[in-house]
Amino acid sequence: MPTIALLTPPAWAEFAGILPGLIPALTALVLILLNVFHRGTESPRDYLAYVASIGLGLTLVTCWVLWDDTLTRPIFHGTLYLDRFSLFFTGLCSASGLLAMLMSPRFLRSHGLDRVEYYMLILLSVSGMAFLVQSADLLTFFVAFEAMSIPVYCIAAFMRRDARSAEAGMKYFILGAFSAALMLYGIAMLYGATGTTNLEVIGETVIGLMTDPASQSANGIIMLGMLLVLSGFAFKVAAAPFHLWTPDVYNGSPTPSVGFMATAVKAAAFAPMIRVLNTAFGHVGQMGAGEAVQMISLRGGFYGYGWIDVLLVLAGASMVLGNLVAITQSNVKRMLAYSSIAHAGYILVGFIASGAEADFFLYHDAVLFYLVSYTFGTLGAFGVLAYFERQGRSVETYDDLAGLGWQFPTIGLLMGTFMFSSAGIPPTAGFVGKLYVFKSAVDVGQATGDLTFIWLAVLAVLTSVAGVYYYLRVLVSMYMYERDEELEGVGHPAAKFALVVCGFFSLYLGILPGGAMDMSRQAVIDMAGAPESIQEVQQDGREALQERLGVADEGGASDE
Amino acid sequence: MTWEPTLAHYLILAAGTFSIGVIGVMVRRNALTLFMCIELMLNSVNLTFIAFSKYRVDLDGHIFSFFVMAVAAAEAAVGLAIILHIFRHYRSVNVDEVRQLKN
Repeated sequence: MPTIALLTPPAWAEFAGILPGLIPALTALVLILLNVFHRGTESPRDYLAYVASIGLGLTLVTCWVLWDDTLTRPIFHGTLYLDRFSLFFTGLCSASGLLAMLMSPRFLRSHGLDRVEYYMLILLSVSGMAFLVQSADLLTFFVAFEAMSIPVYCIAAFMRRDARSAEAGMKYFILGAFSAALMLYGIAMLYGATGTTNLEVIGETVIGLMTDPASQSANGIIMLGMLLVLSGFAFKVAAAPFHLWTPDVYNGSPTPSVGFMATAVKAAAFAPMIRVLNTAFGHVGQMGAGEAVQMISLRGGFYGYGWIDVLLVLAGASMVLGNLVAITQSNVKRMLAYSSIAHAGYILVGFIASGAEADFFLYHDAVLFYLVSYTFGTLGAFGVLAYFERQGRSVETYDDLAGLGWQFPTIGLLMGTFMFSSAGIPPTAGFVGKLYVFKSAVDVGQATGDLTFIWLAVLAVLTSVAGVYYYLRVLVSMYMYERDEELEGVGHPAAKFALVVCGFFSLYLGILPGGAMDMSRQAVIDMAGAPESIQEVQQDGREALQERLGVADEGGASDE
Repeated sequence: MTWEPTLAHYLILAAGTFSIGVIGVMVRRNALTLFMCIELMLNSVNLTFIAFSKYRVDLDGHIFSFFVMAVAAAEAAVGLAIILHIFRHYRSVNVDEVRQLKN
């Protein structure tokens, strides 16, 4: 980056680009200020949750307003992007944070944790996520990554009187800091080999280095750096074998926030994963001819920056391990933790398929859609557990859930929707998500003639069948077992509202996935910073989408 | 002729201290020691950045190392608070004794 460019101030239009990250952070400050004027230690602080929700609602509105107003070039001197891809993920993370906060007040009050810091930490984490999904430079990426993670470590250890929460916080913190340090070393290697931290420049430099036989040592360094960065991503999305923290952290953390950790953090880690791997290492499969292609193809194993091969192993291991271990669990929270590992595996299947060649880039929309469907299903499942859980009465095991479906018909019905969606049974969002992801793997396998993708899709289908067992077991204990005493002091209108919203979207996206699918498609074709080979595919996708939407408009007009 | 350290020397030193940090995290069981090992890893990363930065005559690496320090400070604040929290509940900071969460 030429130094003189840094001396010119950013244009006013660029400041709109940081609004999605700025609004949650400012709302966090407003919350602290409001809390100063709070009188009476015993009076409830529910209103803080609503104020924080309004802040995240504003973030959602901002994403909506900016949706048609994106910039293809990076803003703030090549450090951030303002594209639909980032707005999509910011919207998803704010929605997840908003719903998780609405589920929290009653739970926190009964545990004696009714404090402003909880909402503040979620807001600050969402702010970090907004910048993380926008990052166009490894420096902003790293800072935002930590701005997202550090508040989440605090949330995990938030239950001060609970030794298990402390344990969850410690495990998350130590392993998280360790993986962040590994990733940072990888970034240092990438900087050393390419001389820059800008993703696009790294991408261009990597091509130059790979076609130059004299730069073998630099290639080794880049490969090491890329694998270390990949390990950091795998840790955050909880892919096996980097999943060891997941069950313990999800089990010990305050239940309403676990939904946020399991969905928003995972989505916010997948977004830069798509961006970094495609922008900085994405076009290596498209270069040269003959032997050169063999050497630098993405499926070249460890000697061709082969992140596809590495992720193949991670995806297979996550699906098998997550599903098999989830079956053996007697604790529903741990079961959901292992199933979230399995979901990371499914998402990786779609990610691998769409990353295989530049031509398949648009298949990333399946990944985005899957993340949306996963968010509502998982958030709702943890929300239901938090709905019942009170001080001194944990609702964690299958036995604890016995008979609750009859005592609380609405919640039982919603839990059924969430479990069906997570298991991938029609007509829920999870089914459509799984269908698109597995179909993309099969399509890519057929188009390239590479049987690995087909086998991966077969493995994914088989393991998700195993998943049906433990999801339905929740419903079996809710409806088919008797309960001696009735649960008292359950529920909160805001929590119920959040659960209904999750349930509505789990069903709506299953019946009418078109709108969300189009948004995912637009997000993918608007992803800025993509290398030229991918830009061509994006252009094709843009034309196809406009054609399809245009046809839909005409159809609507003729109806009138 | 005086001896001058080259890029490779710095990188090998940084890789050595980084490996000590990694091995420390895997071998030691005291939460505070683990934390110090992580700090050691972060500092070796800083050394790597500065060495590359000097070698390439490019200031980006210097700037990056400042951000790493700032993040390490934030991590230290949170990490020490969590370790204190652990000590209140378990009267120990040995990670092997902190195991109530299991199936």
